[in-house]
Amino acid sequence: MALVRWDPFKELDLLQERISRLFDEAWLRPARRGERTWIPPVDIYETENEIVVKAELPDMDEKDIEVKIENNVLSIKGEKKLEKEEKKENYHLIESSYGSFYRSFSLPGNVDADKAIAKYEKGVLKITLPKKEEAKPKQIEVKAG
Amino acid sequence: MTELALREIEKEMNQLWENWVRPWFELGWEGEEENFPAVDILKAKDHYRMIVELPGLSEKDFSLEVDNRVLTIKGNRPEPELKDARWIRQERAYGEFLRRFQLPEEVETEKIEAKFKNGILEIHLPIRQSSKPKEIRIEVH
Repeated sequence: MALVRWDPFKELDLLQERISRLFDEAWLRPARRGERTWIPPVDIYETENEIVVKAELPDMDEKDIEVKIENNVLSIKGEKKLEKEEKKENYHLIESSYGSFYRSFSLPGNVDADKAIAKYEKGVLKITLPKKEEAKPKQIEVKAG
Repeated sequence: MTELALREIEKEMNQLWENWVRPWFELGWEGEEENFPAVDILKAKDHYRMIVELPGLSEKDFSLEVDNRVLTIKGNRPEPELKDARWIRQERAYGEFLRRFQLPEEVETEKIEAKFKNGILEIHLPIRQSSKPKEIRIEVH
């Protein structure tokens, strides 16, 4: 049997590796401490008559959300604040995103910006963008000659 | 590095484990997204507060359960069925989800309360307030 010299540094390395893994797995993994901006996930779909944009903005007040259409660009911005002050609480785990956010999408030319509707419900912002009348597909009747 | 120093680290690690990691240890999750729904945990002197982000869901889409000091949040956010429509962009997570946490010993599980508003499930978990040490009078005979 070969004699192997005891190497405390190797054990320290191993310990460090285990500690890192513990942290990664247990809970520092999802935390985004210090990050002050975030990107809310957005779904966009198109029907015959409209384009619908849905942004996930949980735990917000509608007055903290700004929706704008300018030069055919739709922009959504605002700020989601951390609220914990009044109850003297400390954070144990943070996975939710907070801070300011900004997203913008260029719109196709056939959208009627004046008729856009934005609604905030159940933590989701829904923007409905109707298409211009002339942009909607028209059925042309074929007559027998 | 002496052995003593190593033992100190080990001791600290054990303490860290006992005081911070083991309570609230996540026992499991299921679903497409590892981090869905996102959970915040806050602690005050007399309570913990969990904030679970469930945007777009209704009460009937999920359930909350505490069994044997294990708290489970599970539900389903069905993918919208698009009829006569087409996706331009899809970033939101859909499908079934489950997250399970070990609650710390000090939580009074019978008194847990929850409310749901604006896509946020807020769970209030009171901490048992240990009774003050009682002084026992010693009679002198």
